[in-house]
Amino acid sequence: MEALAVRWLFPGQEVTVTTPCLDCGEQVTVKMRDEEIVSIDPETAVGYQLSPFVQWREGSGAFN
Amino acid sequence: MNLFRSEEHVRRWSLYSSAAEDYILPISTWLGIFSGPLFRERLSNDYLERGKGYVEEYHQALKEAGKASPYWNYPLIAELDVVRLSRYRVVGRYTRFDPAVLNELKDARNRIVSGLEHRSHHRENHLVWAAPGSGKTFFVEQIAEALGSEVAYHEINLAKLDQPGFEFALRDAVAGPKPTLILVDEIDAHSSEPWPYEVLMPHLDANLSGTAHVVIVLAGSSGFSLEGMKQRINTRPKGPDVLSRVPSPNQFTIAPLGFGDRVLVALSHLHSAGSEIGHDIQEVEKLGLYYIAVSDRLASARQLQEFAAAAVERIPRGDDRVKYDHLFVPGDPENKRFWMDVSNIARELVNSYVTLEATA
Repeated sequence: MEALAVRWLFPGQEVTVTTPCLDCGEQVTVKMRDEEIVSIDPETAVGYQLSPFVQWREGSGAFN
Repeated sequence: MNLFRSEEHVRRWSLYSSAAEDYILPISTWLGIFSGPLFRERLSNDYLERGKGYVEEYHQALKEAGKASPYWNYPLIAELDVVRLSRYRVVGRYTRFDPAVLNELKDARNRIVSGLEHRSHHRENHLVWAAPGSGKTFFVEQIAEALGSEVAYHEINLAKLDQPGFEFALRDAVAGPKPTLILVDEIDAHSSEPWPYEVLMPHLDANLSGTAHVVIVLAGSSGFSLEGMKQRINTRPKGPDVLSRVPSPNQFTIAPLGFGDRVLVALSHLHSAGSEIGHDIQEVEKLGLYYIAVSDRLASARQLQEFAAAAVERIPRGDDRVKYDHLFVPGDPENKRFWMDVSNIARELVNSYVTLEATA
């Protein structure tokens, strides 16, 4: 299950995802509750999907 | 999903691939994408029955969130049937796909040509801001080539010259007996020096004396826009004087090459490469055009030209088609990698051809 979608397995509860940045190893933390973004630290954090878009039409293991 | 502290961190990552650069997105955007029913409804009883529709919604959300990417433009090629290069011609072999860009540049071409065809006692100076790689030099070269031997053409790159070199190049260009087109490229180079515009200024007035017949095109790519470049020029010694010698109608922009432009350039290069070795190219496989249009390896006109020449040499005698496989040396893993990447989404481009009409 995709980390940023895992909140839907815990309806109504705050879910915290903490992970090291794959470049520098420093922490990235995302707190969420259903539709609500509680906090993103640091605010500049981004997500990146390595698979070229063309593979997504058929779906990839990471998302399905 | 791979999480990073910033976009800069993504681009430093050892596994970063530019093929997926359009999906570096803020986490808030990803959270929106992952709010779709494919994820939200995971616990519902009818999830599996509705799954196919959920996946479609998810992919649509991805497409809408992704930045503009050339990869998504494959339908443009799928819809191409016959391409008549002359329809897109601005001048000579310089073509543009977008009608608005095409017509703006035709107007600019006409103004430049008019200044060369008719001697006047007015200044015939132009200022162009061109996006990097948009072919400004080629555009001006093609104007000169179309005018033939009655017009002299000089190309002067300010960035590559010192003061004496710049003075000599300009004097030499203006002194000729023929109407002369002069391209002064990198017009905003040597930004900390006072001499470039001091040297340039008298030549911008050359026509006023009645002894010279010159059209001078000042070109640059800095500042992200024409206005940005003018602001830079304006702050330099003699900069305001230079700008005041270029009439507003003679200030224009050459837009960056879009996906359609890259397709045209690819077709044009393949046709030219074929003509040079006596091989008349009539058709090009659409998958091959798609590869050329999105490939990072073919970013510059020179790379594209060499690539086209090599591809055409691989076509068997008697065949007038450029097939996707002809683009690659046998065994090149790039061939299979690209085919695997795109064959699911762009399968209609395989074994389907664009017919090329390159008549004048």
